[in-house]
Amino acid sequence: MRKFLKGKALFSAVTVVSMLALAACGGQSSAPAQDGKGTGQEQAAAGEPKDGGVLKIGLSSTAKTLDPIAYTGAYESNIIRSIGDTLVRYSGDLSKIEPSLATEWKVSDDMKVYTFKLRDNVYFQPGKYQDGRKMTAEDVKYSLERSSKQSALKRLRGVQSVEVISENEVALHLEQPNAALLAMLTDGGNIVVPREEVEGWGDQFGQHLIGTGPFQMDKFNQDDSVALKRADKYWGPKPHLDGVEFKFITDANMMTNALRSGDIDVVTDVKGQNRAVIEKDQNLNLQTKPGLSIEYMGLNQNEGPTKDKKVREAIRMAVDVEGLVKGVFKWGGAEKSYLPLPKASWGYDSSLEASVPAFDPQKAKQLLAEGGYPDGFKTELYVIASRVPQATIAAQQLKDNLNIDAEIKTVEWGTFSDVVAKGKAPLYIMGWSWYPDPDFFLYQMFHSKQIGSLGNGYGYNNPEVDKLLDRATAETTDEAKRKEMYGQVMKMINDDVVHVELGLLDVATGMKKYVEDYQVRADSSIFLVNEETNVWLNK
Amino acid sequence: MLRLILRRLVDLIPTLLVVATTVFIITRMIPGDPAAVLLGPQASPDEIAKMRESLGLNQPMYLQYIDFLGSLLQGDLGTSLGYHQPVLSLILERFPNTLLLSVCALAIALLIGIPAGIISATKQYSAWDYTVMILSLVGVSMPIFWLGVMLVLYFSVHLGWLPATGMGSLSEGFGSVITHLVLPSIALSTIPMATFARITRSSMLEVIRQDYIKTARAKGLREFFVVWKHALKNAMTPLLTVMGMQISSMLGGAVLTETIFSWPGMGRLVVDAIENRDFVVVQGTVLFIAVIFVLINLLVDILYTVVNPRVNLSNKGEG
Repeated sequence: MRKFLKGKALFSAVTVVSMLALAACGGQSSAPAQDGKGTGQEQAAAGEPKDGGVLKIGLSSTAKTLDPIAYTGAYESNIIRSIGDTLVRYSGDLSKIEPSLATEWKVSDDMKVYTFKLRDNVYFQPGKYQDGRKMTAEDVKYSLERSSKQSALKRLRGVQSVEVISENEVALHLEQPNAALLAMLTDGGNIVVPREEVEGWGDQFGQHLIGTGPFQMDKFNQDDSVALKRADKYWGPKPHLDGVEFKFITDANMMTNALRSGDIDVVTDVKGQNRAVIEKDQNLNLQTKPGLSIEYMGLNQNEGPTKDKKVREAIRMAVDVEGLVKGVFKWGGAEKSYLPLPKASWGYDSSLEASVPAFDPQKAKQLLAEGGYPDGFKTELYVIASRVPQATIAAQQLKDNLNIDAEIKTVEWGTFSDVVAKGKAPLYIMGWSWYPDPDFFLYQMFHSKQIGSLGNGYGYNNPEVDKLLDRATAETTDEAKRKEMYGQVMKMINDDVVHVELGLLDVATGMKKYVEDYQVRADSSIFLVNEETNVWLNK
Repeated sequence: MLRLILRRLVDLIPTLLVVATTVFIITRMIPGDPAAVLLGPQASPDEIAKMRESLGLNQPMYLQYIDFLGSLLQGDLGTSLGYHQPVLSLILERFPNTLLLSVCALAIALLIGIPAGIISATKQYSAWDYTVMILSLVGVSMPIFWLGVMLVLYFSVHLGWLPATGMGSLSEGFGSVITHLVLPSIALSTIPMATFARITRSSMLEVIRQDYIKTARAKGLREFFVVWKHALKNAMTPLLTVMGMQISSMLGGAVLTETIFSWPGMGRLVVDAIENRDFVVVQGTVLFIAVIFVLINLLVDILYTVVNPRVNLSNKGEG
């Protein structure tokens, strides 16, 4: 296995070089990619949308089950989103929550009851155990209670019960006031499904998912692809596409080859040198935008030298983040991150960027001496294999600038999560990505209740921060007020020096130029048809 | 013969028990908590603990082992952690795909490798011989993952003749499966092809110098019959051994080929299961592969007696 993985690394290097060479030989001198801009212009030039065709999308992992309560990966939820609908969803730019199966909603004064009014014209896709009947409030109750009680990943937390108020009205009763509930409801795990199908199929439901979305399941080819066809009774705009096929191609270079050869029309998750290959090809477009994933170095707050704030400040100042990001992402795909929150979140406050100290090795050295380690010290830096480049550069910088010997401990995921969650890692580099609501970043990573979880693996405990984080979800649903509280939280965290923020990662999608109206979203989710977008093929 | 087969099948039981035990221990030794891997970074320790409980990972090891063997006796390989489906059905769904790929690759390897080796042997030290030997050396040494990508770059990306990845489906017509099959089978066939050519050559060289071949030639038999009928049959024994080994490893899942070409076979299932710590699938597939290995070896042993009647398997081990 190890030999195989080593081979894989060598293979990646060799093949990408070959691909670049072949691309260069082809003499395809094309204009640079649009980087997410200019798509509007192209849209205008593209003319009237045409109906027909099947869009083939490459996913980088194999979807194993599409059962909303059992799925584990983002790639699976992207298929789920084409088949089913949630009550509400994020707008394309993630700035606000919009109606989907629910047309409107209200929150009780104590923020413990959310009442949703349901759309009246929603039908399930026909399946083996029902013939495409109308969706009811009972279905919403069934699906959300199923998610809240049975989902291994708890995609709906803190819901006590779901009450059917009338034929088209349901109320969610929460255990505690929660302003971030709607964000959770946008998760693919919370789509509405018909009970007959779930119970009829049992364990097989994951391969025979039925929902209310624009496309319905046609064929689930294990480990190969999932084919969907247009759902006739979809409540939203009629899809231009006849169908969608999600193909699983786990090798990144082969994924790019498949796009170039025309096997697929869209590749998700484009990284490294494959960005350059796609940019060079005149038949392809690379669309990128800053995503919802951040990377950071966690600094242990309770053990070892980093217990001392001066040492933590020294480390933060001794890491040249810009240099690190450029070194790791030579082909683009990330930018320097300043805050423990991605820019695509509405809670992001760019005015705070200035308060993050700049790279200053001299001052760092001085701070480390003040902290009692003028000659540096020995420590350990935990990472998983995919983040070894980040760790190598960071460790080198710590050695050069502070004489800190950080031994890189490369461990696999299970060990990493165990060591970090137990607070045993002195330093570690990891990434975080979740819903755009700041609660899913800041609460998870900085509330003292999360000590013992991977999110707060450094054991950060600041009662003031706890209080603000609690208030931000319990006091109001007003985004402006919440944003202010999260701003204060980030300021305190910055002062306490908990992280060294590293990269803010891009979402990059490559596609054939004939794919029109394909929305690349910061949360990597794929919506092919809704009020904002309706993908079509211009060929 | 029948008794022999039965005896060998009975011998399978202790072998499988050893394999099962080894696999059980190894999968438990892979570092990392399957529950944590399964649930991802956002899971709380509470959720991970619950998942461990539901997977039965909190039970003492010996109880887990007894459970595992008990289910195994009933033919139950367990339920996959990721797919939420019985492992046996996951395997049986993918095995035909692997079989199809292996048979095609094997056919290519045999049809080209053996004749090339024979001609090499009969024309020793000729330009043909040198060419075949150099090519076969290249073939044996060429990494499949490199060759696979080169084939795709040329035939799929550059010429646009063949699909790059996937298996196609019969519903799109028979042609869809065939076109998808070409590149992976060529990639998978190179190493066995080169091995067959080399083994055939050396084995033939030994045989064609023997007296009975001289006799055959002296009788005035045509060279074609001398080589293809008299010599080849006796040169087959070492070739069969190698062939058995090659087939067994291909059927166990051509890991690299299947991964590169996104071929939905056993190899991909295993790799994916290892990466995701789906130890139930790892256990099940390794056991299945072990059974295949033993059965193919048995088949090869039987074929020995057909090719060379002097081999008497029932006396094997008794003197």
